[in-house]
Amino acid sequence: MWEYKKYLEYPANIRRQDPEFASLVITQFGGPDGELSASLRYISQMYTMPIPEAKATLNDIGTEELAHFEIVGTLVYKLVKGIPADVLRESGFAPHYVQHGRANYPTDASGVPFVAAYFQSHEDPIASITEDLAAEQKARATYENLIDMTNDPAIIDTLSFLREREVVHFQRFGEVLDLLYDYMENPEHRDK
Amino acid sequence: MDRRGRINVEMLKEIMQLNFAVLETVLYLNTHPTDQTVLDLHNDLAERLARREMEYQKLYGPLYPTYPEADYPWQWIDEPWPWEIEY
Amino acid sequence: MDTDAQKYYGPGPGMSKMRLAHAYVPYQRYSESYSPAEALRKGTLFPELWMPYKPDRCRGYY
Repeated sequence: MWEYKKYLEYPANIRRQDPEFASLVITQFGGPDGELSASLRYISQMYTMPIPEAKATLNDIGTEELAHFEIVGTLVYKLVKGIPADVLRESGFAPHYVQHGRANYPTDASGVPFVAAYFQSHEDPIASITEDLAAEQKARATYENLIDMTNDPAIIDTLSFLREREVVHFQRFGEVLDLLYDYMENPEHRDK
Repeated sequence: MDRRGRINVEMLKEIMQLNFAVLETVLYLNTHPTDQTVLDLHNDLAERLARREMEYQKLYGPLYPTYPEADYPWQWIDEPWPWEIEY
Repeated sequence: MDTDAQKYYGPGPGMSKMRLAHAYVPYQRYSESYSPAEALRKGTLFPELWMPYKPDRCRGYY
């Protein structure tokens, strides 16, 4: 089960409000390579993993991704908080405002709502963990594109943190993949 | 009723730092369960985190809904919530 | 990779028999850590895993 801690993983600030950027960064809230997609992917895949290291890694990284979902949600919330409708009307956030107001809703940067079809969960652990390595790279590349889209040093600071987490997660999934090869090659090492 | 609680952003940031360092040792240990050096580092950081969180909760209210020394009135609901804070 | 790279990585157990058509990531070996404050600022506790984006150079880690 999960228990909430009443603090963010990373202190996410913004320097100035920017509804245009909110409509872009929201893809890491509910887009294909976003944090919700990552979290649900990992905490769906963990059940049938054959080795404990893989279960633990998917559980704990999946949990961390949910904390990243909260950080990106915080960015979107702060970027548009209290901005009047006539200002939002002139920004890329207008379509979001029409359907959701200033509430967070998981979509990509084009407004397409989140779907579970963004990820796979397969009983073949090599297939799943290899997907997870790719997922971390796609998220890293998306954070780099987002960094290219803003000059706000506070936003870049938070996006750089989230981007670096993709690098570390890639390393951990790479190690899990290696442990899986060893297990499949020498299952007797694990017999208890 | 005003449900605006007191917070201490500097202390919260210190807790975030310790929490993050512990998360990193956890992820490392998941794939290196026999690394005694990092296990020791983990226990040291986790102990400091638990102590700091306890101190914070005594002064500024719960960080977890299950905090066992909750004061009257129920302060878990107090604002600001994490996304409402300027860090 | 610098010359003392082996200090912070090595082969994993699955690499004792490397095969074609398999993806391998070197296995991390702990060497040192940042302080908790610096770790949070950088996004990792481990100096060897800190690979920041440098937009003016080129994409990715490089």
